[in-house]
Amino acid sequence: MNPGFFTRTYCVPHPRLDVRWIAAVHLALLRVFELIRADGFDLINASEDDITFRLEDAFENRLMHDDGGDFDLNFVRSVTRESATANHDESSIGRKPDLVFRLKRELCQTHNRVQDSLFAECKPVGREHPLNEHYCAVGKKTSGIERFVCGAYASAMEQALMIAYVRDGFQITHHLADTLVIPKTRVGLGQPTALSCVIEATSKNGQGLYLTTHQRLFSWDDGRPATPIDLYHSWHNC
Amino acid sequence: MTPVREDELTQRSEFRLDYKSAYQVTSKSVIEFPWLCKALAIGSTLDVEVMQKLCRAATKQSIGSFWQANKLASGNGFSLKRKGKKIPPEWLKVLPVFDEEDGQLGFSKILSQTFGKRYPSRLIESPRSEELYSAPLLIIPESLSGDIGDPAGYLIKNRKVCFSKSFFGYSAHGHRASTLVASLLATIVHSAVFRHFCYMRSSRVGASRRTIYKLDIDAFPFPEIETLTKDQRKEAMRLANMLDASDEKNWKALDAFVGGLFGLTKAEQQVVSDTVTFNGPYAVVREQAMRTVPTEEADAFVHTLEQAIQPFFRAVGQKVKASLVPRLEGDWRQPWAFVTLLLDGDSWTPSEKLIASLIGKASDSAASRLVMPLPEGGLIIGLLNKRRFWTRSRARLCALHIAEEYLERCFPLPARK
Repeated sequence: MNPGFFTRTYCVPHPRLDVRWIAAVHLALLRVFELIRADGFDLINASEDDITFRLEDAFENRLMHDDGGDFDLNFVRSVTRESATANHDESSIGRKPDLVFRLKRELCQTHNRVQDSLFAECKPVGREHPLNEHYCAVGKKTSGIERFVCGAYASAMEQALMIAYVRDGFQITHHLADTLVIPKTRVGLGQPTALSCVIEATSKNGQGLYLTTHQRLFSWDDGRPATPIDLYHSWHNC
Repeated sequence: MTPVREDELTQRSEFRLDYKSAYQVTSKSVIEFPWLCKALAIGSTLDVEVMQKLCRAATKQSIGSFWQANKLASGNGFSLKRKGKKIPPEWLKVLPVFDEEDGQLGFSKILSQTFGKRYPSRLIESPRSEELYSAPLLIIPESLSGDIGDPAGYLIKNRKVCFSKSFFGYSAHGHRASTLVASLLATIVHSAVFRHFCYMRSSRVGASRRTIYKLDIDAFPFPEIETLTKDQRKEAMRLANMLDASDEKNWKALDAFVGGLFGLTKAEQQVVSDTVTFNGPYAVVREQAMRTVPTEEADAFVHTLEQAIQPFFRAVGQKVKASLVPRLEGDWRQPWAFVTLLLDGDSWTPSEKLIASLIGKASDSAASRLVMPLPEGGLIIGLLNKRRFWTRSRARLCALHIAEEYLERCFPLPARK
């Protein structure tokens, strides 16, 4: 797409976010989950959509609105649920990441502002939602990580977020780490690096923030292969 | 690029390009938002976000669409052009003619002569419709005063009044909640949000004459009456009565109410307030924007900066502290003032020699802000010592700039256990 007076296409990849930005979003997620729990919302039995709906509502109408609080979300422009976005070559313009954190960045107009966000995919994780069927699925409609690897989401970015609604005592350091080393999963999910801890867990309801880096399986418009993507994993016990 | 007018510079045929005066915009965004360039010229990206929110609200319902959908009368008053050839209708001759001096006495105290007495043998171009002058009615002057305390509209509650084409009239006559509708409109047009909207959108205010078009008023969002809570209805009526009273007005309450109607956060309301206070296209506004920043405003800037940047530190188990650097001794107007940003527990106070040197370098560069990383971590920020650069909105922008450009360089992440 042509950005206007400029005759070249938009620049990719977009400037990287400092890890503190992603850590701040992770901390905000912990706060939002606390709010939802305090409301008495039944996280144990709620569907993925119900929880994501609650997250969006709590972000937009409470955490971002109450700027008299002790956690200033001034750096977030908006949080939207399932807002349509285009994939890497715009052959599909109806891709819907579960949550899109639009951030206030001093971005040049040579970058596509529509594609400049922290895109997040939310997945339930537990016995009813095995990792290899959902979060780490390959070639399935229910896939999670794969959407970032194939360029469905966040194609212009080099960082994105996976949010897990965790049940049945699943552990990121055990279950996710084990699933990511399964050969078929490794190939389908862009040869992920080993899970590394970015922020350790500080509460019993969150499991900290972890990072994996994945090769991507598509090329940008100018023919260059897309650079790897850092996926930050933010797991929340439900 | 929009240079900010600074009288001491313009007297020397110079101008400064503030770091928030230059933006890249695409032709696509200018077509999508015709007000964009003006909004950036008067305000900043934060003002653009406020405008986008208001415009989204207006797509649901605007003042114009509400009046049209409810078949209510609105428009300029009668036209008295010299070449007018129409005899004024009898109904117009008996109506009192509104003028602003009456309005100053209180919106309900219209003492003027009737049209027939004031213009006994005058032919007119157009009388407009009789419904336009029916109460309840809000009469809005087309000129936008530079003084925020001046009336921006006159609510006529219970009698027909005619007015000239220098005013826009919005009659709620015929609506089942006519008093509430008129009260809401009166409250809205007196708000800083409405004034801000006019600054951003009007093709005249800040560009040529300080007057607004009816299109500007019509484009402003209007709340859905049915969804207003009982408390909101009560508050709208109370605020409209406050405007009519001669007591001191609580503008903060009015601004908060109108901002709340359209979902503006406190930070967004602060953007509105800062822009209206310091960036309005009036000499009186410009003069106060150029004054030396008082200590309490500098403290508010420091507090807001610290609060806005804190999540990036708290998220990794750190805390950051912003502090105002004491001014240099002496009876002089220090042209720059400084803030340090250090990790909690670190301490560093710049020497007077360093501050004097920074002032010299910064003044030579014609910059309006400098950010300097410190060798041992943290940074020092210098800002021109003028009120317009020390608003809370500027503090938020400054925090965002630091978050993008300086976190990695100036604040190493803590080592993980």
